[in-house]
Amino acid sequence: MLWSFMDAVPLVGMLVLWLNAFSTANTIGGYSQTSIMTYYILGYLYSQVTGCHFDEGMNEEIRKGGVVFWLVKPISLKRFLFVQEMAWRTMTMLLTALPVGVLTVIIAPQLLPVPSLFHLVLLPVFLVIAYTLEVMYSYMVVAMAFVFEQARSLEHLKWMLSWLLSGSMIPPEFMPSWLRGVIQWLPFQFRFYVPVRLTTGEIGGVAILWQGMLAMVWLVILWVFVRWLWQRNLRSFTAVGS
Amino acid sequence: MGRYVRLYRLFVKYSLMRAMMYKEDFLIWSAVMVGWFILTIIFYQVLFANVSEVAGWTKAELLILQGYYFVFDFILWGVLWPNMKQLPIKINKGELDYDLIRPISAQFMLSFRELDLDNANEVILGVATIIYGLRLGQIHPGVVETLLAIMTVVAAIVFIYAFYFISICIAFWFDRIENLHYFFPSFRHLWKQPQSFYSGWLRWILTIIVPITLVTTLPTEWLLMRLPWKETIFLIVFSLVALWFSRWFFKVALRRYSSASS
Repeated sequence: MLWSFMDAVPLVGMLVLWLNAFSTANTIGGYSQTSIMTYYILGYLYSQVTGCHFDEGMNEEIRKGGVVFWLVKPISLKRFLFVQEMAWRTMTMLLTALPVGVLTVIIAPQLLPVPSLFHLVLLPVFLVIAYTLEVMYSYMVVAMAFVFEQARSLEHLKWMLSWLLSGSMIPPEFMPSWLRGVIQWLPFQFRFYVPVRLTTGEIGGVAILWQGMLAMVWLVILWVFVRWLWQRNLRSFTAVGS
Repeated sequence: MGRYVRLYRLFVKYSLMRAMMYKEDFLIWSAVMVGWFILTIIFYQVLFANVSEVAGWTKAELLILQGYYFVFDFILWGVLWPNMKQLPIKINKGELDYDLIRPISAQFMLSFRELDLDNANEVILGVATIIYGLRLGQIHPGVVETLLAIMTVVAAIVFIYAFYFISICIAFWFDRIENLHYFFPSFRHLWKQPQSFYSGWLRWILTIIVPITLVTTLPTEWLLMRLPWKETIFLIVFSLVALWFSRWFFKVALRRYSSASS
């Protein structure tokens, strides 16, 4: 519950900033006050469902050698982390995303659009893809912790990239065109920007197919890379006295 | 008092030595902090490329406020967090005795023994942002305004410390709250915006009940020469009362503590 509360505070700060930004303008960067509120609230809800945090604890476990306890178990550590995080996400969905969503519907129903059936069916698929991509980034950070003592800095690098390139800092429409061009080829947008646009119905037909294909290509690339990196770095790992 | 100053100087020296022992670590974390700083600046650049002002605040004025945000971020993560994260663990494991039996204030030892200087560059980045904001807005505060801005920074630090410590002391009542030390820092997102951005009951709560929004707003307003006398006096009085309350609360909370044969 404490995490749920803490996660909602940045959203409040962001909404307050944008509400004030719109006090002197009707539209900014093509967004109205309502659409920008919708953007951040939906993005927040989806981030709660797709976010992945196991790298934070695992880096410390690896540094102190406590990971050996997990490595000798008759289950793959990667698989265990995937499932454990999924349980966390389910809890977060129930304790955070759902109450915030219900509260928004009660207080300001105009902020949460009802997607079409077509988009509603596709949304869970994209959320699962987004979650799996997030897990891949975290796997990379954990894999680096096997050989690099300060992998915590990589956690921050992951969050920094995600904040800037997923659209959670600011919608890509506000960014310079060259950065928008970069973002549309990268996988970070699937965490925030793509699910939001899917819900609001602003992505349709061919664009959805294109986004789906791009996401799958990134999944394959990252899966192959993570597999190689994990095995290579695990071989270099040594622990004393655990 | 002199004893505490000497002791704190030793804490700083020891923390600096430790930071320098792991130079790579220090450099990487410094780079990470610069990264977050750049992202914040990018955010405001992008925002103000689309709007000329936000609720009466210009880009220069908001940058000054962000500068203070970076300074307080170091106080939070570099000075207080390394100590606050340990207190619930010590309470849970019954290891508080080592701090309680020392011939010095236990609250002082528990609150200030460790410093994480890896993100100390936030202070430099923060001050640089304030100076840049002042130049951009062609704002020239006088000596008195600058001194009063510094005074409100000190009052805000006292407020942050007192509330952070009080929130951590809740651990005495619960067996295990792993993320308690993240609770108060999460409110920093609220002092990232000026007080005037909030309205209605939220503004009332964040100004009178827990004056979180005054933390960055007041020093900024002094530099902008808006002379927020009443709010400054309120923050100073509030911070001193909160500090006193934190000491009282700690003593009350200690009665809940029992050692684990250490």
